Amino acid sequence: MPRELDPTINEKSFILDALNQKLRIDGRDLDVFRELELSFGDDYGLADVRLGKTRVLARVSAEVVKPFTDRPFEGIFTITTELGPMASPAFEPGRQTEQEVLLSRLIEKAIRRSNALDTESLCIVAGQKCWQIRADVHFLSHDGALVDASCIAVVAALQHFRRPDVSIEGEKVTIHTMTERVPVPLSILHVPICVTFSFYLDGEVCLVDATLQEEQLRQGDMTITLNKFGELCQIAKAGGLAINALILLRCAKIALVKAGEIAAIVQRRLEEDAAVRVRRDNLLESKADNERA
Amino acid sequence: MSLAVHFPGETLPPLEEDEKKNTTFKVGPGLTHILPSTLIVNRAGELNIDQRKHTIWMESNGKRYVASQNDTIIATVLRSTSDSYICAIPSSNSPVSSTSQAVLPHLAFPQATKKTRPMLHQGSVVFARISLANKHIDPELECYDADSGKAEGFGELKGGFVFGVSLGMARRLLGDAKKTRLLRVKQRRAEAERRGEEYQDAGADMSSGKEVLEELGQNLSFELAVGRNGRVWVHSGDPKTTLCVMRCIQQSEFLTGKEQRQLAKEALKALGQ
Amino acid sequence: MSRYEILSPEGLRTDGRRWNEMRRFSPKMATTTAADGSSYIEHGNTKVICSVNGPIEPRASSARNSERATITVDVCFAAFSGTDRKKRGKGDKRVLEMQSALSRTFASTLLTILHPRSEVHISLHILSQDGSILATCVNAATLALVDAGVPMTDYVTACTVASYTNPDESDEPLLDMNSAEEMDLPGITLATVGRNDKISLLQLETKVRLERLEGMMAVGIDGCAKIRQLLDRAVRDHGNEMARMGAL
Repeated sequence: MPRELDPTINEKSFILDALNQKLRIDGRDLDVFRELELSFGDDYGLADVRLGKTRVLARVSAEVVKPFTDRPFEGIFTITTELGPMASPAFEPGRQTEQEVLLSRLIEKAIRRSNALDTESLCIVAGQKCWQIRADVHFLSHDGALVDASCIAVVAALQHFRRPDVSIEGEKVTIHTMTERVPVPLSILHVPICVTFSFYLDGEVCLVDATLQEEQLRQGDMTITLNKFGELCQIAKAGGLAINALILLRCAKIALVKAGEIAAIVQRRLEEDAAVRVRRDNLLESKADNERA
Repeated sequence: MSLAVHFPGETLPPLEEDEKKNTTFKVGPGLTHILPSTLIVNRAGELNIDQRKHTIWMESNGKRYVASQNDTIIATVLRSTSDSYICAIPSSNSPVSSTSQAVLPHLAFPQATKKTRPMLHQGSVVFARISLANKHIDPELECYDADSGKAEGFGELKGGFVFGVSLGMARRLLGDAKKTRLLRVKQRRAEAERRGEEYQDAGADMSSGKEVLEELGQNLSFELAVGRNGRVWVHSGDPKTTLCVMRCIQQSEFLTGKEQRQLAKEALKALGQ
Repeated sequence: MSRYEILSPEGLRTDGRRWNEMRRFSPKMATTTAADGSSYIEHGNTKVICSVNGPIEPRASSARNSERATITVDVCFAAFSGTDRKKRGKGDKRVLEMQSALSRTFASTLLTILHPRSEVHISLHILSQDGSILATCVNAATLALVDAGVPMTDYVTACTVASYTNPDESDEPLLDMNSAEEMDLPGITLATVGRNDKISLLQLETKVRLERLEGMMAVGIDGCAKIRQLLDRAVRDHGNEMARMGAL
């Protein structure tokens, strides 16, 4: 069975020594994220997030289905995640590991249960037809902070996605193609961002955005999800080292700042992408004119 | 010097008379010898011919290390059995390294007897030599010099930090890869053409890959061990120095000799030396 | 139920408690004979039975660690425990998450280093659900681990706190949620280790303002201290009883 190699004694003691002097292996400060690279695909709803060597891809797609009988006025939103051997040879295909369950629960709580996506806006005909929005998260490379990266990928892809427009005349529902009518964006109520803290040296050092090596050595961790309005969506500190309440509160404050920064980057990238698209569409249109003339 | 890149499946053209010089060559990795005198490439890379050592081989940069006899490597101890340590030979510089297993007998240390043998724990790092490499069984390691039977630097590496580099980089750091290599030739040729000049190889784009170490070694004191499996161990009294050395080595992979020296100088300045 | 009924203008909750009052908490120790340690906790209408086996030979080779004992947790919701008769399967993600949270909470509190290559198995059965389930599980497991004599640094105690929004938009923390409050209000589950404010488990699953976290945590830490006293009394009573029976 392929297994991740545990850090050696040398690496372990060196990393902890360095952390004691507030040094990280990659030269970052303790509370600094790796450089976030976010790019979008040619289609709507494809986001590619890179956080250092970690790379996560999120794809949002939509289809028309019958809503759940107990929630006739709401659309359906699902997030699926799968840790495969592509991200790391230590992950086996097919079998759900504990890590994978925890990861998918966290993303689920952070985005779906915090109502980041307004599911009521996805209803087409109550009890008959609604949109099912699906976010598939693919992990391409694992170097720590999978939760943080996948959360960014999903919220970015959701904001980037456009679904086909729908018109209703009496009983008749028409779904217009992308060329017929301008596709509509999803109604996003807020943008949750996950920030994971790793605790070392009995809670004296807490790191933001740990790499895989740092994750393997941490004594405890906590993931805080919040949006830029200062609303906590989710906190998960499932065991691990017991940490003083004041430190946890300080982490929450740091997380608020980080969430604001990341949301701003996502927003900026979305705007840049939209600008590129407009330019390209204009170009295409003028070309079509020329052909007609 | 021309870049002779060959791809798997290519048959090498017969060697020129001045290359051959009437000697018999040993065929190294990346080439298959089909009798009587055909050589077929089985690994993409650069063709290397060493007339003095009478060898011919393909040089390419890779991530996964395949054990071969007499290579010095840096391995990690996984567990101990009744008569040997089971070690992992990690390779590649990706966050999750691929590994292969090897056996390090308890008696493969200088002056080791059944009663006096070094105690290694899970996660210890050893600098060892591959004494036996065979495609059918796990390789065997030894922690002493084959000629003198003394430690000569082999054995457990205590303290310090271990990080990964590419296999080609490790070979260059050991100084036994091809002595020099050209960097960014294409890019520089294009630049020269834009200026309307003929590209001339002035030696400025050469790098032996060791300049960074030479520069750092003049100003800092540190210990260094390089394994052919792409692992580098650095030890110094101060984590800052160790980190500085590590970053310089990692960043220098695609730099020319001049740029490497520049990089090291800047890093030293930042370190306050 | 409208949200204003959760707390009446007189400051009473649906079941007549004030904001800082807990439901009746009755812990019992050594309730089953088959296990090495066991406990039964009734917290209001939430009832959890727990048994601990260990340190034992690991049942699965994956639970074998050459340096420390591994802690495995099984959580089982009885089909009759909720309002609808519904069986939660073994693969339910929520149950798996609870198990992992519990095992990691105790992994840092138990002195696992004393028992390498062994397993401590905690089995929890939820007989009746009325809010604060994870917290009650933590308390029951602590008590059963004490009964089993597994070496640990201190008690791990847990409770829940809700955040209630008054009609005038001010907020008020409510200690110990029942299931009606859990449905309508955002709240945290919090577990502390020992007498100081060291938090080993903190969970929040619904949206709440960041400013409210501090107040909720303060109330929660007090609640955990209170539960610690109650557990401690249960342990001492049990010990005295054993001494009286001549078992010591």
